[in-house]
Amino acid sequence: MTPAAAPILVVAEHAQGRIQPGSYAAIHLAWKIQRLHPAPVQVLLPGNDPRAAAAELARRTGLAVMAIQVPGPEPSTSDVAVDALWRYLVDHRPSFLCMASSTRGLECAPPLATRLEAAHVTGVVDVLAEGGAILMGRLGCANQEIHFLEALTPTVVLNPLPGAFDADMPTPSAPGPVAWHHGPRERQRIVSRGFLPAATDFGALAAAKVVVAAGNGVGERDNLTWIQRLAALWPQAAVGGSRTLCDRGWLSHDQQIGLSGATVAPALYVACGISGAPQHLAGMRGSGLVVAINTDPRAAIMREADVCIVEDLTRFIPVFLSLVEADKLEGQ
Amino acid sequence: MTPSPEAMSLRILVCVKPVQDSASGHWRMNHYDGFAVEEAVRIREHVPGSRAEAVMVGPEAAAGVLRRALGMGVDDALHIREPGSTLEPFQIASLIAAAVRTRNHDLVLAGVVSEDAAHGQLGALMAEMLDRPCATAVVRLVLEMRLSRVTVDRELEGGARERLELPLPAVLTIQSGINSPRYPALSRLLQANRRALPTVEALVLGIPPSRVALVKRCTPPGTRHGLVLEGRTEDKARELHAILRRKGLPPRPAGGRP
Repeated sequence: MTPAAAPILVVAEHAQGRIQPGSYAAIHLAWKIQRLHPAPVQVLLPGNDPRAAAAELARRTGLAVMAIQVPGPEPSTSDVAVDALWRYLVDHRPSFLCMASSTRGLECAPPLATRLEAAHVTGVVDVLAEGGAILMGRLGCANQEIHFLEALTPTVVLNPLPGAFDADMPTPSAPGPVAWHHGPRERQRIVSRGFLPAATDFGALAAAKVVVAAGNGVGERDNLTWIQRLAALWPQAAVGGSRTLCDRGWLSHDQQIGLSGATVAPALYVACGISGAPQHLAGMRGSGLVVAINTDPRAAIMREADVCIVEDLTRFIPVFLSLVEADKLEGQ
Repeated sequence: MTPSPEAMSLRILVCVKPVQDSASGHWRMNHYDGFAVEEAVRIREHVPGSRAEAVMVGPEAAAGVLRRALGMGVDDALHIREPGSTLEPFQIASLIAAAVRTRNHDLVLAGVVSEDAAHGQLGALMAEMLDRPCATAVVRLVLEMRLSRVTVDRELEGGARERLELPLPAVLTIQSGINSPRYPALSRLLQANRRALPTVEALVLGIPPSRVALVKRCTPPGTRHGLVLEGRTEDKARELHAILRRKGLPPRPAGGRP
């Protein structure tokens, strides 16, 4: 059983002078656990010089922040961050350790879970209390189900699913306290040569009022013509798509919507043949009206849509285009 | 993959996961692992004397997945046989680490995530268990054999990248889109089909106890109240048209009036 007094810890991230937004989602996950399992929530912030970021975190969250100094060159790399965090955690074992689902968070969580001999659950969408245990929900069965898991270890490491928890912070009544943990210089094997900005410009997608997006369900490359013709029905419309189509070269990378591409919030989002992988959904959740066209009524995108059309897009879109054309003729 | 001209030989291990099609029950290679296998084969082709080996944990019925890797060009394969398909990532990593620990691979590659369970943990777990440096979500890699080093660009959020240098031996997880995985060569597939795959039973290696228990399943709640349009295709098109007009988002045919 989880010791009642063991804290709920959050590992936050900062890079290039800003807090990684996924850190706030990890904090919301920690707060949700705290409501079910009363224990103090504390934030750990590793970094070469995390003072300014730690102060910002404490101010924005009202939580106690422990800045874990990682001696060595800036930016610090995952290997030294893991070692520095481990030195702290070995004497301050948490009940839950929440980390962002960022590239860095998903790189650091497995080694920490291994050293803590902890259960590790990624893609957490929900937590609930049942039978005296905290259950952690993650998507299963091709995103058709939530599987609730009980940890069999005293410590659990968690990464929230991107988009499943709020990333906005309520204004705290007062800033939290900031403390320091200085560690020795760790064995550094990885060297960071710095950050490269996104090679693509998502400006067209970001500015569009209507986004028509294509997924694997388009079937053949030629069917993208239907997506383009559908988008042409609105001014200020753009065509986007899933990572799979961009990887295939069917769409350019500046048309990619999702975690590793653009985040869009148009007034109308038409998802054509998109299954609704969490990575894609995280990039379009802020959209206004969402229309999903898919042959599979159980596709995850249908749960995120205002209007669900169970049809083959190559059959439905031509019919819709004809209807719009006929409507125009009638109106003349 | 860009090799340096002063290449020596490399021992490469690529981890593949079998994914079962829910409808047909057929086993196929995890989509993301195809990119890792392709990268391993490209390195093997460009660095003379190198060998690439594929390893998989899975049931006997999934052996075709390893044969596909052989068909794509890896030299050897190791099947860690485990009849179930519900092992946790750390159990899979423990099995692979136990099987390959003494083989001193210079480079261990894996797909960035699995398409079925989407844990995304295996590469980082392997690195920890084998005590190797690790970079995840790699979209470009350059080997510098003289320096016994690999330089990678790895993907961060929103398409940004970070450039990292790792000493060999190292573990890398390969992001989709880094290459175009080849189709297996027919001659190689036929060869692989005739060949007995080296196997080891997971029970012999020792499966560590589970750390989580599945307690219950439920249907995810929708974030929106999806209106499912009914009727013939024409009826649905008409209803969508009406909804879009009501919402102030009327479609106009190309060349139509504003």
